[in-house]
Amino acid sequence: MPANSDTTKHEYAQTLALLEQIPSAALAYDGECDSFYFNALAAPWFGANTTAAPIKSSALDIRVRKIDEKQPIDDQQTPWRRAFNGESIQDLEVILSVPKHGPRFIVCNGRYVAGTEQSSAIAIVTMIDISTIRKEYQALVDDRATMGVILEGTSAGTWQWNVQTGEAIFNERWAQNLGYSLKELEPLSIKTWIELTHPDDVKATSELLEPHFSGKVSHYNVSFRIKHKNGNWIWMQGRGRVYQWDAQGKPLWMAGTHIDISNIRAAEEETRSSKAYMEALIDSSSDVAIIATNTDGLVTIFNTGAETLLGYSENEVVGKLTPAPFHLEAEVIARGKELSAQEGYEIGGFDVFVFAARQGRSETRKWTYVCKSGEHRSVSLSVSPLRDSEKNVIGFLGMAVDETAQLAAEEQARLAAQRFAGAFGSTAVGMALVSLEGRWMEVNDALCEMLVFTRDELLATDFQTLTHPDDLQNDLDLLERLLAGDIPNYQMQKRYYKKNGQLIQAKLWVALVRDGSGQPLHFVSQIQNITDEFLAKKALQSSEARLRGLFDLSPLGITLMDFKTGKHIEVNDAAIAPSGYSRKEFMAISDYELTPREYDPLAKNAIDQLKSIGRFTPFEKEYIRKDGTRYPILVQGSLMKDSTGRDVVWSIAEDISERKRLDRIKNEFVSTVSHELRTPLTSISGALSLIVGGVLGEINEEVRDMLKIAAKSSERLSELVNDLLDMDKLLAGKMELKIEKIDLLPLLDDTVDSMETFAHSQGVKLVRSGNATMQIQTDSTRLIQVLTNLLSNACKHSEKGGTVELHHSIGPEGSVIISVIDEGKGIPREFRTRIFQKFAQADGSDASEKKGTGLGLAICKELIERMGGVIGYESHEGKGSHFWIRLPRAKTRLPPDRQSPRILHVEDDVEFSKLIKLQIRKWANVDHAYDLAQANTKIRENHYDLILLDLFLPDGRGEALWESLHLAQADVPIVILSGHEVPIKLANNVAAVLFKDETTLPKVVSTLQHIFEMGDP
Amino acid sequence: MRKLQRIIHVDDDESIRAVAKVALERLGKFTLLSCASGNEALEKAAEFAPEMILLDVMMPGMDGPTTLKKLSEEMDLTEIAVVFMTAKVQATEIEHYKTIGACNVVVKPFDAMTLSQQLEKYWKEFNGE
Repeated sequence: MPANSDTTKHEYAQTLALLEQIPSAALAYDGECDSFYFNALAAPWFGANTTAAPIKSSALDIRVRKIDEKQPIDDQQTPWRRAFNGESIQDLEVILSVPKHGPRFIVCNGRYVAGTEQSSAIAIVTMIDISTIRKEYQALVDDRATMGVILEGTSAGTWQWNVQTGEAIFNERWAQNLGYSLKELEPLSIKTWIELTHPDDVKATSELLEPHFSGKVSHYNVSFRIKHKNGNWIWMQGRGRVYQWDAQGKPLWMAGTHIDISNIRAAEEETRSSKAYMEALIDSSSDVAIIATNTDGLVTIFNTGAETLLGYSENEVVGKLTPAPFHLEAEVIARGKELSAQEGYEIGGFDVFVFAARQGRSETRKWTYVCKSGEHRSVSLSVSPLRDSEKNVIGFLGMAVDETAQLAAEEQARLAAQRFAGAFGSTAVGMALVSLEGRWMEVNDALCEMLVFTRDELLATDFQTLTHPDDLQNDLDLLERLLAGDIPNYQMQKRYYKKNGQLIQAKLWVALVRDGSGQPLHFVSQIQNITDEFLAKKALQSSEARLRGLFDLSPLGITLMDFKTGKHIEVNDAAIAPSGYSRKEFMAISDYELTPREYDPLAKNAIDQLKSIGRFTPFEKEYIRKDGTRYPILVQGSLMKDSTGRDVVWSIAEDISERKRLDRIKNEFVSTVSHELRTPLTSISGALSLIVGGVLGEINEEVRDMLKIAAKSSERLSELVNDLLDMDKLLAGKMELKIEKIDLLPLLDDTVDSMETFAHSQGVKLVRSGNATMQIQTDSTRLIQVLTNLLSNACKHSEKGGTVELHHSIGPEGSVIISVIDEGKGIPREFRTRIFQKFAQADGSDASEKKGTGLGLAICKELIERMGGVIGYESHEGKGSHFWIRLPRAKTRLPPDRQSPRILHVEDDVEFSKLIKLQIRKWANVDHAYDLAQANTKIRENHYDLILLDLFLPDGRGEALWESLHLAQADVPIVILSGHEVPIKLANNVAAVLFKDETTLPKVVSTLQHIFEMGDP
Repeated sequence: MRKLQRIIHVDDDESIRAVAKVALERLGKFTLLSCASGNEALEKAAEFAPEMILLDVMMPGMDGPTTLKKLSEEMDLTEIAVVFMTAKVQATEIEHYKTIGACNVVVKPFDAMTLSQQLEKYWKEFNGE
């Protein structure tokens, strides 16, 4: 850009002159300096307040975007920049936005103008504002879219018609409405429509075009019949208007919709015909006076029967009188008083006639009619409400029968009255008049609806056809008895066929109408659809039957007893059978009488559980037979309320005599077999070891290897037999322990010494650590057995070159902790829950490598617990396991000064904590914390004498709580009540460890009581 | 102290007798008399003049304790160590056997390789060492 200001001015004048010559808005753009020159038209579009000087682009706030794009165009892509770069811009549409102005649609044309000596190069861009056109276009697009949606929604067919050429366009829906595809109707023209439309309607619709063409009506609107592909005429509603006129102002193009209105037409037709039917009936009933009124009482119908009876003419009455002049005032007042007294508010005048009808009921009463002549007539007047299609009361219908008239007329009246009684027409109950032959003479809407017939279809058939064959004979028999006069009416439950062949279950009530001389005229039937109730009842019955079957046939004894009295309410055979009582005897005695007294504490516990959580956990007890012997049962139950609100207990009592017997047989078998195996095993392993030991002289190496295998296997077999026998004894309670005070240290040394050889054979180094000398109370043989087992396990599960450590230390309150620590693979997680179970073996894949009977740990646990200790472990997969024994188990602690100790139970199983609380609430105050967070809060706020701790909590492990407590309140004893996996540091430092899966509630209680020195464990 | 040399082994099971024979004669260098029943032992005991009698507890006909009782009626057992052999290992049972005259118990299944040493140990205890 030239620096000289004179040159700049000159240049500007030149450029401006150029721009002003352009008739549209225009700008010149100097790309070098990024500045604009605008002509007078363009300046305001860009928010430029002057044309007198070039304006820097940075001084303007211009936003340019492409049509249909939200993001502004990059500065390098603006039309002027592109033109300046040499591009020829032609009819480029962009949207220009400047502050305080709406967006402006502009069309740009531009090109580059090379610089001269006096002037620098510029781009000239001319612009035309097309905003108005764009907006109209957009509105049109929007409209079309909206219209399209609306048309789709209404299922309307659309059409366009060139009035002058006859050319016509229809949409696919238009053809579909007539059952065609558009293709089938080709070629399409106005003739297509004319050929399909009813000839009578073509002319009429054409005539309606003229008023629209001439502008008298804004829309063309017509109904016509058009032939559907299936041959039926369907009614169409056509709407449309001219949307394009030719130069002479004559209509050119017309467009509109055709909508199928057959359904609406049909409904209208039905209304019309039923109304006509009604009117015809009313008129024909010349023997019955029919007087209808509007809701105010003004007479709207006065038929010939009424004219005859009262002597007034229709013209004198309709629209002029209320029924008041036909009545004796005294009677009206008397009835009014009666109703007023009955309802508690004033009722009089016209209301006395329609009081019942206003409430939707029909009412028939005796009245005295006063004729025009003054003569009195005794009539029976039935008044019913008249309703419109929406069921609104729009008037009242009175039917009066002259009681003094002839019997035939009376009969006729009764028939008519029955036909029109409000209950008949408007009730939801199906009603019918049935001829003596069974033909339907009259049916109400409810019945038609029920059987899904139209009225005419139904009237063309008879009840026999629609009755299920299995129900027909019964129905006919009853009809016969009715006709014979044996019964005044009858009621039955039967099945009717609907039109579609489906059955409905109905309740039928039938009465016979006789004429004055007692001759049967016809039947009146009332039919109520009870299918739904019937099905519901049936479902109930079948589920009841199923349950009943389960109850009766269950091999488990099931009893229902009164919670308060313990008396049996219902008992199945399985519950009675083992007792030796008869059903009668059994029902007369209670659960309490059947139960031996030593089970009272358990029963009490069950009752407490029922009260608190509505059920009790299964427990074993015994029942006393009639002959005084006992049988074992496993019982569980839950509390419910019966239909009368009484508390009842359902309990399931399984007779487990057989199970117990089998257990005993099995145990005896195992015991016998093991004993019997011992003798031959002794010989086998003895003989083999002597040979392998070279006692009988040198043997061939190959033979010796084989014999070694045999010797090893027989040793294993011996171990298994020994373990089985141990287990057997432990379980049978035959294992006798010799508890005596011993020195621990020598025992541990001896154990390690005796294991040395084995450890060596496994390539494992055995070390002993801990030097505390102490005496403990234990059975030394059994303790050695346990430690040997643990050490042997540890060696087996160690890698070659690993170390197994036997450590002991003094625990709290005079206890000792002995641990066996290895560096093996650790216990697989999935095995941890089963580790102390009988025949448990970790991961089968390397089981052959680590031989064991699967009984070792189960025996260890049994033995340690019998010695008053606890065994547990800590394990980290890949890093090794740490089994610990604590002997003896929890020691006593000084009781708090307080009467009842305060205990915090940290446990996420809420039900379980409830059970615990239930057990100990008599002598301890129990608080419950659901997770660590709650526990921490509670511990901060209260002082607890003991904490019962689950280790697996929703927000972390219980160790964390122990750690913080251990630091802060080391004297608060903690009892762990969790799984077997307990970290050693916890086991060493808590008051007791109990395992959830095998601890009974009484055991928890005794442990806690023991800690508080409240009784013996 | 007298040397342990002559031992009577009473067991109804032939294979146990055979194993014990090898274990005691070959390994322990003892002189062994194997008897298949209590009656056989009663017949031969006095003549054999053993230092120790190894007596199986469970035998058909006459069991170990009965055999011991009968033996004590026929000969002086004060100088002879009686050791029972049994599969039952309850501590109280061992006490019981001791009260009826046994000096100790060998638990079945026994280790054939160390049986001699075990008996030597019991012999020493019997002689108050």
